[in-house]
Amino acid sequence: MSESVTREIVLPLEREEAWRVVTEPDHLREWLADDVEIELVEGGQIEIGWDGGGRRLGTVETVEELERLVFRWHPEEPGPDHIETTVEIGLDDAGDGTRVTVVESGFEALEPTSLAGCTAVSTWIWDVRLGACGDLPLMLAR
Amino acid sequence: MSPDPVGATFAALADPTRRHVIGVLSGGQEASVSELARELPISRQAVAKHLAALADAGLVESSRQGRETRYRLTPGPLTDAGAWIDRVGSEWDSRLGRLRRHADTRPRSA
Repeated sequence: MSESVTREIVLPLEREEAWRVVTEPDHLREWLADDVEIELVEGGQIEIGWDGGGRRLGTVETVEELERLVFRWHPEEPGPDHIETTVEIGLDDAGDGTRVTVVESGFEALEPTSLAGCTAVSTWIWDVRLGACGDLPLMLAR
Repeated sequence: MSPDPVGATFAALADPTRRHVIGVLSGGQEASVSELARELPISRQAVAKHLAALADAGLVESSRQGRETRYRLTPGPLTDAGAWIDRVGSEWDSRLGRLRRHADTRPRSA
């Protein structure tokens, strides 16, 4: 099972403009989510929300201007998807434009045998008794 | 902008009554609307409405047995890590689609 998601796209933009588009809130609100706040420094806070539902909180890990932005994020609400993943947005030259590569990783926590996955589901279950955590690997199996 | 699909799945679970319905179904037993209504302090109509919402989120399935429809829990969407990662992939597909359209509207600097 693949434990990361990779996507890339080539934009008809100079590198500087592409960097602004993937790091500045005014631009991020046009494509990433409806509400985006980001402190573009290492350790900076990120808050992202979608009008249709869902909010994510995160922390900036790495800022290499014009090259690479790395952040960790997780859903605000508890749930079985309440795992923290890492998103890396990288830029490089591609002919007449700039290639944007997005890699989201850290899905190991969803592995069937993962204690973290089990804990995540347990946290979410609250009063819903889907079974003792010992039974979860069975449920988590694909 | 469309909602975060993964978040939307869990939005279906935000309602305490729907969590209660899942609790009743979590024994692995199938149940009809009438049986669920007996277990829960709500009407048959309300049970049917909540079951429809859970079915939309892929969390319950119904099957016709004789004259009645029976429901069972399908927790797969919550717990299938592979399907999960596929959903994350499609989220990025739509985000990058919007990014491309946004970039196309930017004036190109010299």
